[in-house]
Amino acid sequence: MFILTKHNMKKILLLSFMLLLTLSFNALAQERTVSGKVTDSDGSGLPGVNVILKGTNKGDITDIDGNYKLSVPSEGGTLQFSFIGLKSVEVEIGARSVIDVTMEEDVETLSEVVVTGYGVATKRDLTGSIAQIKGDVIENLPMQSFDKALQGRAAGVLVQANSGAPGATINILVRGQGSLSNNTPLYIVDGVQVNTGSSAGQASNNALGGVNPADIESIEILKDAASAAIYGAQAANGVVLITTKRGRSGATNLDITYQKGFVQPLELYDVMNAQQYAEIRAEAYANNPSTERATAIGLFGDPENPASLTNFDWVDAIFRESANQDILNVRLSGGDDKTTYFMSASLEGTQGQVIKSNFSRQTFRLNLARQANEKLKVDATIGVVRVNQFGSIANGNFVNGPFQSAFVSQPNSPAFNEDGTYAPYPNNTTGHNFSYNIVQGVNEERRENFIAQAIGSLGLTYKILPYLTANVLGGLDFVDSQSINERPATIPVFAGFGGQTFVDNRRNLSWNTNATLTFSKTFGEDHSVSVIAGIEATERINEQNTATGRGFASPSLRLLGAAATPQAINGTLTSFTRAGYFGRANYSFRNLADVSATIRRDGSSRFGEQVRFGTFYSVGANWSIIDMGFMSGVSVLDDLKLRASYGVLGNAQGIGNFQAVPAVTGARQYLGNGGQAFQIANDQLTWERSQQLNIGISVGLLKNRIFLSADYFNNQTEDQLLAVPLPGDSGFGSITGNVGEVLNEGLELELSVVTLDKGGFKWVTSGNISFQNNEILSLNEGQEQINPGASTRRIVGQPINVLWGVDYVGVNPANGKAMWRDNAGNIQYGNFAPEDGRVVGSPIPDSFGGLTNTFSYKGITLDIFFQFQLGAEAFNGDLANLAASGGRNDNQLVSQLDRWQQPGDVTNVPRAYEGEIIDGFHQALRNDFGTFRNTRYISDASYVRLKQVNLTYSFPKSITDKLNMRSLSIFAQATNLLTWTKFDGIDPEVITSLNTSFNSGNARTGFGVFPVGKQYNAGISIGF
Amino acid sequence: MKKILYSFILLSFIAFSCDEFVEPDPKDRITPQIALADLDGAEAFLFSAYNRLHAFNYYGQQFHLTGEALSSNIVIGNNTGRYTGAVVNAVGSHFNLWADPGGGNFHSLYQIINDVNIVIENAEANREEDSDRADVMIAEGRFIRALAHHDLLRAYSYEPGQEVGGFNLGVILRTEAVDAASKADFRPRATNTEVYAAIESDLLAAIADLPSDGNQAAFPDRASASAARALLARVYLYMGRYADAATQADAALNASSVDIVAAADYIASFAATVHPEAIFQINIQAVDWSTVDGVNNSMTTVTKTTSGGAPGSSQGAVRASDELLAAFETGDIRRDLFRNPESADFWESDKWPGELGDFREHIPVIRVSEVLLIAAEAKARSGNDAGALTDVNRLRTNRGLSASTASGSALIDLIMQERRVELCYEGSHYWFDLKRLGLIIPKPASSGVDPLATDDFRRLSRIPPAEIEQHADAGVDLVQNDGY
Repeated sequence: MFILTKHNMKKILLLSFMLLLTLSFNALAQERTVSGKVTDSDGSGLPGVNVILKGTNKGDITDIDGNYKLSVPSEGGTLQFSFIGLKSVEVEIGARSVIDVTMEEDVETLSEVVVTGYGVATKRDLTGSIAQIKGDVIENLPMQSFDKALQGRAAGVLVQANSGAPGATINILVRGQGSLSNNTPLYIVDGVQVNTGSSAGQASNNALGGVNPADIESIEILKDAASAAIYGAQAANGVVLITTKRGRSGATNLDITYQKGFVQPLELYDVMNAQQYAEIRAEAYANNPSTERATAIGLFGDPENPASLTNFDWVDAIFRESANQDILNVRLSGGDDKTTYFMSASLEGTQGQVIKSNFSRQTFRLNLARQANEKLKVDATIGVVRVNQFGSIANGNFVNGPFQSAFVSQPNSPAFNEDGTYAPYPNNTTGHNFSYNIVQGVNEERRENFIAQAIGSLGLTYKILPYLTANVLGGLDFVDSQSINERPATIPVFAGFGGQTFVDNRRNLSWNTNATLTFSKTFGEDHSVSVIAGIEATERINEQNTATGRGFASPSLRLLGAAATPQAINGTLTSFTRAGYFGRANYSFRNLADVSATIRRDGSSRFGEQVRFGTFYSVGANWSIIDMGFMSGVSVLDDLKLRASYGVLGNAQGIGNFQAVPAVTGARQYLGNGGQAFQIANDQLTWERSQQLNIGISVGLLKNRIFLSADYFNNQTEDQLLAVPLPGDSGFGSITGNVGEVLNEGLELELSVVTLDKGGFKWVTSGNISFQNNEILSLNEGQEQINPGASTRRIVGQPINVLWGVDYVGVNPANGKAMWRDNAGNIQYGNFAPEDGRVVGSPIPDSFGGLTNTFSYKGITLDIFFQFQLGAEAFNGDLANLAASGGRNDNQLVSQLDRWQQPGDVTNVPRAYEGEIIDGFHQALRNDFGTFRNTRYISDASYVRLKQVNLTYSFPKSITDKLNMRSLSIFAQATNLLTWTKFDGIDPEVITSLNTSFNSGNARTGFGVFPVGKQYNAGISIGF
Repeated sequence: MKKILYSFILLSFIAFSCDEFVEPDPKDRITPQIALADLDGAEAFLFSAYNRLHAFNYYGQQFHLTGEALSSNIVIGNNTGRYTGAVVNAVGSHFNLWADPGGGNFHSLYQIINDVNIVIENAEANREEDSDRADVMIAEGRFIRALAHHDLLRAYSYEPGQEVGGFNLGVILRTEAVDAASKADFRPRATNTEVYAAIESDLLAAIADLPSDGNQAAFPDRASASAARALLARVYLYMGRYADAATQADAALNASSVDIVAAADYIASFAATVHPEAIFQINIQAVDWSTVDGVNNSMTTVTKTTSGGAPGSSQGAVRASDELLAAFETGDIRRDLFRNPESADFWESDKWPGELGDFREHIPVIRVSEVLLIAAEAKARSGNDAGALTDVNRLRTNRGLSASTASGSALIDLIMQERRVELCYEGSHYWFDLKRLGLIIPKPASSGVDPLATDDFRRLSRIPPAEIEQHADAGVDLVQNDGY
């Protein structure tokens, strides 16, 4: 037995490719041709029907008129005709050369094919829980990455935007948050395990944007143990499989879609004008004995003399009235009986809702499949993407971030001088906001990303025997990005060092390769068995090099080489490897029942040497009750099926690559001598183990016009990768250990109803809702709480993400001071210890889902899609600046005019008081934000959103024929059109995603987030 | 069937040989065995410790100004959220030295202590390589350890003899390296006298082995014998051992190569890249700061409204209080260090001008004028008025003032007054002086805050509540300071 290294691993895989190739050149048998037409029950031709010579890979797909042509062995055989939603037909060829077939609707719509790990299956054979989203649902959505399009479409999958910036990352949770460390699912595009997160620095760049959403055929989300266990150690957070479109044999199709639209902000904060601001500031100064009203009037103007005030609308200057969007998709597909191809190209230009924010992307894809001979099939995919982004600073109380500064900048201090040049900010001596003129800053600072990404795979399938197939796949995801930040000396705060240029180059390479053997055979009429065994290896390498230069002779000279001072350099390289072998067996008994068992053994370089390998497994079964003899008399039911699965999966996402290696790193310097720092490590670190149970039922009623599916899941994840606190006086904050257990259970309901189907008018309603319960069962040995922070605190018996704080009682009518209630019910003005707080909310929603209504009549289709989350709370940091009763230099919300003014006033807005600290107590407990939040700035982040309205008209064949087109349709759509919420900020979606402990401290506070926008688009699709 | 067999064999080969493939291959770290195999490796931790001294919660910024805000030397200029709690003595707004506040240039003092504990243990272990070099490294480590322990003690504990209600707990004492989780034990606070004893022992050992100013090639950026003597003099002053303080201060003054600058050179001395009076300073290089550290957290940005000549490029978060300005005698050259920006009605200090660019400058930790004042105070408090008068007049005559002839308590008052104006905006000396002597802490009239009585609980900083909780979880009673 030899030792496997990275280098010979590659050789072996190369060898396997070659082996398969050499195995494949066998002599060809003599053949003849069969052709025919496939029609529906009305006699019109059916395009897109799969025609396969049974027991082989040979087949064709019917053209637009329903015609097919296929070469068959001279001795004949059996043809199988299949199409989603229609009953499959099998016909003996015999001696015929023309075979016409009529296909009928299939009431058992469950026979759809779904992609599973390392294979495909029909939906009815599934023992696990897989959500499927078809490409046509998301094809024309004006979104930069497919993950965004999943929102509300799949039960149990919570999708939240982290940012409204075009092309930004998305937070996806499959069946909630089972891990205290990381809940990111595994993403696989055409077999390639791809990079996730942001691949560049100056604007959030979603690595999943490397796939053009319009190129996607289907997305499958593996949600439970039975479906995901084959991915073993990476499966606990769910697996998202993306399959891109393939060509089909038949006529060449050219499809062109163009849409144009614009983006608008949601309802923004209503901030004060110059007079209102001058008024509340004068009052705040007057109320504080150490300041005087006259000083305020000198600084902010005289509210009694409005004519003397200049008013400048900073919000208007920062937010665009309408940002433009253009998307063009062109694709060409087709093929013959041996070769199929799918080529696509796209151009997108999308502006963000604030000035300068921009995203542009060009994509190219080529998917090629070749049946080299009867036994060997080659399938190659390559997608290449180039992205250019201009970013906006967000997610923190940053003076140079537009989402903070547009609102807090003083309205009495204009951005421009009379001659149009930028005015110094502010025009008084307060030095507010670090004297940063945000309009100048956003316009003159360059924050740009350039990203090139390629995702490609090559797969070989070799049919060794009719029932035994070997498969080898290799793929990679390569991202090269450059981010440039230029801060010119024309901005006063950067003048001191003559301007600055920062260049950040990154290279992320992720490759994986696998080889499988699949055995699939039916024994007699009743028993069919399929078994797969395989191996897989993965490596991911992340490299980053940055350089900063300062001191430029002119603001126009900005390259690093022109910098007088080399300010800083930095370089990092990190990697991990993972390898494992796996097997899965399925057994089906008639249509009645399926059972499956999966096992995978995985090793990861992230873990301690003694615990580097783990074994994961699952078992699953389904039982089709409707097909039992005793159900034959029940006519109202068309489908009734039970399924259950259990398994143990792993999660290794939550730790650094070398956290199990005790080590010393370079850190800091003194007098030019390099320093070192100790990384204490736990060499016993290993996987989080998730025990996942799923029980589901599907019911079809009234000829399947009503279809209901319900799944209960119960996931208990132990050995959580958790920071175990060390005493601060040890010099270390914590060490990662495998401690604690989290329960994550929930119920997913899916319902689809054909509400009306009459006279050509069809109304289909479908929706899903998921209820989830998340609870920490235990922490580090007997500990009840850890991480005492406002939004990082973990408490046994509570969800893993909570907001810890005290309750805002309101304003004391006698003196205008803010009052708070601690967890013992005592009402005080302040001086709370952290333990005086309680759980005042959780950003994890209790339930979420979506509801679609589709109306169609002749060529018109109207799609109305709502998406919602209920039972979530969020802390809105912006209010700490904007809702401060005029006690700060920041501009204030107009609502602050309701402040307490005299004894007896009943209001929720405390007394205006410069500095906000009355008798030693901060009126918003702002100095304690790190320890606890308070309900003054927490609100209900539940919302229902009219996410998507789409109106499409497809021109009838009579018109398209005259125009020599295959198809023609026009569409109009609106995104995020309406939102119903009680949330007291701009966007409840982005903030709940950011409020969780998995984000940085700055992002968690909810300051300056980039909210999502409304989008309106119209477009045209032409097919030739 | 042969082919199938081959395929299976191939598959199983690969499958059962994964061990080496998943071996971690880090490029950014080395094992402790390699890292600490020689004195160079141990010294790298010393460089880390020196670097961490300029953490923004320590000598990089907050340690200089927190005490000024808690007492009556500074008021808020521009409200950027900095010191707004401290100027009104809000509960919990205090020195922040105990736990790692997180972020780039913020560190716990215990991280510094652990760095030097690693130096001390590993220099000892590699002593055979070069015994003299090992001794010096250990001495530098003990000097830094004493400095950090003393600064913790000053912030979190009462000085011996000044305990309120007999509360004599010091801070947690750490003198062994933590290089594995198993050594990170939870332990209670030592008493203040136990910590002082450890500090004294560290400094006495350091004095014995540290080079003189002239033999310290990196003077004043690295510790010298005179720096250790000066620090020991300061420590004795806090312990109330005035005779010992005077002896050590005199020894430091005799041993050190630096001297008081003349009045004519005083203003320029703060714009010099190395302060001519510095016995020990922290060197900061451009690479030590992120691109926004200067504007966000430097001494310059916090204390001045302009930097590098560009108006509005600096925060100017704090200004001198009327009370501090009134404390200067007429003719005091030090009053000229306060500038009144054009068309403004406030005074800001030019002590921290950021002369190295981008708000950056090296940070003096001990200046010779402090040592002179320690000598004067220690002598005055131990009955040697003549000696005290000589020392304090040596300072006064170099600050544009006339020689004093005061004696007794008037002399002591004069020396304390000199300490306030000489050391303002540096090391929070005014606050620590009032606290160590058990005096009422005055507040600026404009603050509307009452002076802090001698038993006010806010005289001590709050130990991070998270530490109390974590110790309790581990079954160790870490006692919080009274009142919190």
